[in-house]
Amino acid sequence: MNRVSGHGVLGLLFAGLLTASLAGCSNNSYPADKLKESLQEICSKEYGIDNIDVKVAGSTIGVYLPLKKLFATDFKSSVVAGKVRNLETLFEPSPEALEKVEDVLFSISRVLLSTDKKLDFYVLQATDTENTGLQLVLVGHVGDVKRVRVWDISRTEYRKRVIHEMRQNRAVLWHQPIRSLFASMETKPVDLIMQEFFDDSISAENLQGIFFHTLHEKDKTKPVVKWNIEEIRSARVQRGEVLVYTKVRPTVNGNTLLAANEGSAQFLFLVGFKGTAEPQIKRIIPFQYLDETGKFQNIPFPEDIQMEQSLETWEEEFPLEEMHLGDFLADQLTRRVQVMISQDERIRNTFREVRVTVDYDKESETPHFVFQFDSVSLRDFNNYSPESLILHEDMIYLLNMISREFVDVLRSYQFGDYEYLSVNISHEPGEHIIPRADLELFRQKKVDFQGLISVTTL
Amino acid sequence: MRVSMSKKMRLLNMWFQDQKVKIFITVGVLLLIVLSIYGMMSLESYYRNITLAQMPVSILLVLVNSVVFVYMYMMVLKGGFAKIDKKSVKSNETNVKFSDVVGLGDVKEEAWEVVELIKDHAKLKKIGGKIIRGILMLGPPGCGKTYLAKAIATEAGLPFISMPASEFNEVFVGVGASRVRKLFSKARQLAYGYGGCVIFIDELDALGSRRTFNQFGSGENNTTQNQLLVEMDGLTGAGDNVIMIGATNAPEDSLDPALLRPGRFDRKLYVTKPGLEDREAMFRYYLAKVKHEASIDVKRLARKAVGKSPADIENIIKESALIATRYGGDIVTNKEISEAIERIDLGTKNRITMNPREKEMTAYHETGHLIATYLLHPRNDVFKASIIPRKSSLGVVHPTAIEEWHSYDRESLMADIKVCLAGYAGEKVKYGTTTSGVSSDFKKAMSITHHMVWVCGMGPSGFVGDYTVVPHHELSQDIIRTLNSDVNKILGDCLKEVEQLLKTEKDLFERFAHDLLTKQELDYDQIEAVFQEYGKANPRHFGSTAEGGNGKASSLGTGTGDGSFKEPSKDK
Repeated sequence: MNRVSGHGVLGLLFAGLLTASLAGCSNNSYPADKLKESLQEICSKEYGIDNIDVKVAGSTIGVYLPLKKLFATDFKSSVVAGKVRNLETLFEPSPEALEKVEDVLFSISRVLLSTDKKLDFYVLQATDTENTGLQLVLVGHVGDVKRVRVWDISRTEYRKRVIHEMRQNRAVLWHQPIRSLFASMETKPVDLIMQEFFDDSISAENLQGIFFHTLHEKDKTKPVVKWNIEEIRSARVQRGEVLVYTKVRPTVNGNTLLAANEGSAQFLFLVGFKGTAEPQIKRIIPFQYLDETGKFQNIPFPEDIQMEQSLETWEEEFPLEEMHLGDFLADQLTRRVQVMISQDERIRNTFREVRVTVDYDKESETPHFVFQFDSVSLRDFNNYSPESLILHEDMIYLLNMISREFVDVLRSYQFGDYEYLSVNISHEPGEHIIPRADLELFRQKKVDFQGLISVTTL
Repeated sequence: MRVSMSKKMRLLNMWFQDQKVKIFITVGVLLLIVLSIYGMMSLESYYRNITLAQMPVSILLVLVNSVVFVYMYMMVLKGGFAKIDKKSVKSNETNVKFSDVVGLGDVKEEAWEVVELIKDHAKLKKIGGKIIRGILMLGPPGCGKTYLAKAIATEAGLPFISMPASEFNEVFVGVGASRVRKLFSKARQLAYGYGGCVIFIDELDALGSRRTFNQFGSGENNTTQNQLLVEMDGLTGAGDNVIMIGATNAPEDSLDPALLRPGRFDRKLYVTKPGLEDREAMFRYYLAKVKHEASIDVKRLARKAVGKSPADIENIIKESALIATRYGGDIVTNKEISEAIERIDLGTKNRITMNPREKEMTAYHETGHLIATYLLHPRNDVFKASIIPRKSSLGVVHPTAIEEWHSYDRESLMADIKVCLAGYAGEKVKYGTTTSGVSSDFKKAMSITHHMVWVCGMGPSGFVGDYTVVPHHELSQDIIRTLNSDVNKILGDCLKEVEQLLKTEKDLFERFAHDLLTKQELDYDQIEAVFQEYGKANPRHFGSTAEGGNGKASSLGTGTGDGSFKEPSKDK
């Protein structure tokens, strides 16, 4: 009896383990065709972040996070009031913004890890849409996300691998008046809208016609029309003037208002930006109108303008280009090197100025990396000549440090799509080419950097 | 139908109580498996894959931990001190019927009565009587106590739990009492399911000897015994049909009185060694199990096997079968049985090579024993004389009682002493010196003499009483001196008598010694023949043994060597 029950329990355990294992053989949680919806759902349901946009360009996934207040400090008032003492604190994100950024980053990592779409990079653009148009851009490698999860790399190393940038997104600022206009049309009367957004050249009567007599005056019995912006791009026309293209879909209680054009309407706005004054819409060019009979009519653009092709080049709020590993590593290394240089005491003491960038040239016949020294100036400048700068011991020290970091990072990523490393120092003749094989010897510490340099001068 | 349903429900309930831990564990495991599967399904695929990837390592770690834990548990705690072996046996597995128990007529009758009471205690309860709680079987080893207990269980149709008393106690205190509790708990469980249960504790004296009470507190034995007393007739288990059967070789008065009182071991069955008829039946029973010669006379065998227990008789037949096999035979004959008896009683022969002098002295030593036994002993006959070394002896004379005696008179005790001293006397008469081979004879002689004088009041000075119960320091020196003097006198007188006998029967003495030296061994017939040759009739007293009488001497008779008796010749 005991033997039977013992076998029975073991059998149950085995069956249970098998079933649990089989339970793991199910599909990925986030299929490739529903990546955008999945990410938006996670952010909305779990973190209450409703207005993100997701794009995929090749093996790069981009997430656009609009924030009303990205920075803790109000730039304009601080600058005007003369209260800026530290530039770093000026650009410090607010705690709420940081929290949202972290939530979205975590959501991105969850989706990245549990999808069947082959993705290599993620880009998060957290944009200050209300005030500055500045955006915090974070670019990371999916492999690093996996490696940090299984403690293959430390969190410190992982933070070094994520590229942080601050960029200016002009399109956000240019589009902001238009977005506000369409948002205001749902709530505000025409006269207020006229006052707030338009200059005097546009009449209220024109406006009504342009927007299909949907703008309510003071009659609140009329149903409210919701204007959903489907696409918005902009291009600078001249100094202080920007053309903004907008494609909108007006709806009433969720139903499309317009019968034609698949329910959408297109407009071109000419927006004037004058100093610190509020931007104003100087002109509206609709792509459609309602004739006297109330029929919907399109306004064709002249063919020579090539509107559609032109729009492709206009700026959008959320541009996304596919990232390549070589470019990513070049950016990462640039930042790593800058941090190393700033923290190294010897370099601080021996160099008056050092600016170096790492580039990846994939367009040439043989892809290669470039150490571009834009500005190098030793304190003890009497003891070297321009030709022998690279052989100066402090320069050797600097190059050794940078190159060590370079080979270690490339080794960590198993990146081999390059043939050589080129070292260019501005105002120096020639460039120094270090083949990949030599770099490998350097990595293995079988040769030092000075030995490499002495045979590589072109 | 209603009764059987009730019984089925009880059995089901009993099974559930026994297995409930396993059932709960199984249900718990199933629930955890279901929850695990649910949990796995709700994880995102990455975490699910991570969990699955780690599962083999986790399982391996759990297995390693379990092995280490179990190993340590078994090594340190040995699976728990109170664990008892599952010796519960169902009644249909004991399979020993009353008809299989040979002999033990009176005992079987009493045991059968117990069986009847166990099977139908309802009748007894109507009268207001109480069911028997315990049966104690007393008697020498190998007489069938365990066998009878099994027969009781089989006939009663109840489960049978057997456990030797020595298994209760361990090095650690409290284990014995705990095991007693577990045993009775198990028995009550079985009694609930099957309507009753029999517990058999063998070697009860290991657990039930008299308790000692001193300032050092009760020992482990006391604790265990106390628990047993409580379980048998304590506050618990009053309504259970649990019957305890105990068996012991020890004398009754060595057991604790609390154990023997009514309410605990209510019934005492004295299982003694079988008489002549029972021995005959046993020889018949065991011979029936082997291929044997038809001419084997079981009556003769029964007479030869005086004082043998059923286990001894079984052993004789088994040994004879082995001997027959060794010699390549396919049936058991008288020859094999004789050899088996000799091997069992005398031991196997040693291959010691004695030098001629030592051999000769041994021969005269054994001759002394032989002549003294034959001519002086009223009860024993000489079965065999040998100078082939066996066990730790260089020679042996094997006396055999010709009938059962249950007490010893002064004459037989004196004859025993004379037989013991005859070896010494033989050496002294022949060589004028003696050997160390007399030590065991002296030990026995001294023991008998001491017992006669100090315990049985048979000393020549007339002191009557058992002086061994009085502490030695409370006896006067005079008494001690007198009693010791009596011992010495008896020994001296016996020695003198034997020396005189050997001197008188010098021819016989030399003849037997010579025969032993030449033949090494002399069996009963050869010995008888020599005595007859020298005109010495067998002086044994033959009472009404065949009728089962009291064994008192009635007339002298002559042994014929086949176990029958005839009136002595009036010619001598």
